[in-house]
Amino acid sequence: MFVSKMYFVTGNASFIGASHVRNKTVCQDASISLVEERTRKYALSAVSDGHGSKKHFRSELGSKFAIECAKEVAEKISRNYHKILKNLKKYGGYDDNFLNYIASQIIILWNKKCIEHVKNHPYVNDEKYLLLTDEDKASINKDNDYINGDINNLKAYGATFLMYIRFKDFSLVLKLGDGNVLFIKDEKIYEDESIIDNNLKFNLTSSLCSEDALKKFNYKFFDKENTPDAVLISSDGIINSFENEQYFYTYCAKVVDLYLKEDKSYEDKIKELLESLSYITETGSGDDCSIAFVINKDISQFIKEYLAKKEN
Amino acid sequence: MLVPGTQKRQCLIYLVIDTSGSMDGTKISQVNYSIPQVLSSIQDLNDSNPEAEIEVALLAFDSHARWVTKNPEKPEDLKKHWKDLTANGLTELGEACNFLNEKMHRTKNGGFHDDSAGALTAGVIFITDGLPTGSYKPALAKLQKNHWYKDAFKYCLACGDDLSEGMSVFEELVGNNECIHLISDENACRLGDYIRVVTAIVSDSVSSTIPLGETNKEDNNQGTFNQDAVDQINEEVKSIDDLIDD
Repeated sequence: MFVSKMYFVTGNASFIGASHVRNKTVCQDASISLVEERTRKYALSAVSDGHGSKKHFRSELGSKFAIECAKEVAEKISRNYHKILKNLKKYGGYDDNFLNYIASQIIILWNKKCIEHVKNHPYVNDEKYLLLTDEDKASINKDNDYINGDINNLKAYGATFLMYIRFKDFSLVLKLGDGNVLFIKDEKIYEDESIIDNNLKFNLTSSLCSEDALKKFNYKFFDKENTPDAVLISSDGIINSFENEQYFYTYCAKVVDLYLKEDKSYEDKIKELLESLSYITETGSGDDCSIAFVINKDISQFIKEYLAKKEN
Repeated sequence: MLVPGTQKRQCLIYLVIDTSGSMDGTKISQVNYSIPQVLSSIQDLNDSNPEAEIEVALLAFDSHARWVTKNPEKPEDLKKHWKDLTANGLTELGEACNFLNEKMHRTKNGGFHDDSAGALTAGVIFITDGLPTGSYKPALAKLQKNHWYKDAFKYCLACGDDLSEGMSVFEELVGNNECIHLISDENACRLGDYIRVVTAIVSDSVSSTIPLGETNKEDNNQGTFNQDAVDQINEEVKSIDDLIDD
């Protein structure tokens, strides 16, 4: 079936947290955005935030693996696109099993990647593991003899997962843990209550490494008519840096405005996006900051008006 | 790109001080002596922490409760107008609980906690020397349902010789028995040291933006407390105890 090339503008950036620079730790966030190259059949954006505590000493890898999973799952959906579409039409829309299946795939893939890694890099050889207290080591190894890399306890890799994928006939959001998903549709900028996990507060978050990760996933499915004009996903380092959510929305609108400008090169846009994240983490939360987005309609006029209103 | 509206993450420390008549003398003098030092150490913490801004809310209670700070204040600002507390009257803990419950909300709901998503969990430190005189249970039951209170790092310093029977009250107040330290009357002369140590560690713990991970344990009120920080406090207060014993 012929699939027409779609209008897509995507972008993403991750910036190391100011506190991580000061504490000499690495960036634990990872992000991606892409448009499928050959046919431009779909666009993907994903963000993952590694937990970063001393017991999650490999979370910068966990977040990278999460992003790889997003990419692989998107390809898998793309390969089975017609079958999925047929089912969606047959059942008059999506059902939870479909989204549950995708979330399961992400968890299985992520576990596989982490297990593969720990087999090749057992904890016993890891300096960060050796620095843990005996109690912390015990909590990491509590149910199994994972230490030699035979099997794995994946707490060390703990990370969140946020993904948005846009196909021609539908789009979907998958979210596990903290972070934000901002929608722009019909000249409104908003978050959707149904994918906000109100149990998350302060420094606590759900994680890919949790036993009940599948239960904690939040989903949002959009059919063609209801698909947003733009979706921006971001790690909590960004929203935690703002006085209130309106400033956060304004920032996101500015990012959209930047990427819809035709007189700026891609390199200049990336540079400006990174500079803004650097400023946010330095003057705000100090945490790693990541943002990734897909814009699939020219909403530049609305964004300009929105920003003009905010400035007034 | 200009990015307006960024700020450090807010962190509130509540100091809840019993100013009933029995605190008169050494105890209230120790409180008055230590508070400016406590404020200086919080100021130092703020200076060294680029990610969080600790503010202080001070509630005194005797026959009635009253906010010494009308709104949360930066330690340096409170230090400028700090006036010694005086002690007299009863120990109306229930009213103190009501006052806390009223203000442990977002500013948009009339509370002390700002509206940013990044606001950090609060610290609540009780300093008292006696059992409540009025009926405190209904007020405490309401406070225990308050999410900001539930998730706060709570610690109680109780000074007096006959407080063993008060343990259950203090435990109800802070949610577990590990976050209580009993100080004998004889040791009241070091109350200021205890206050300084507890406030410093609680403030440091709650203003940390590094994930708490699994050092958090659930307390009896379904809130959480940071076991590492509690262990650190208990070690430090024990060393003050030992110093006095020597």
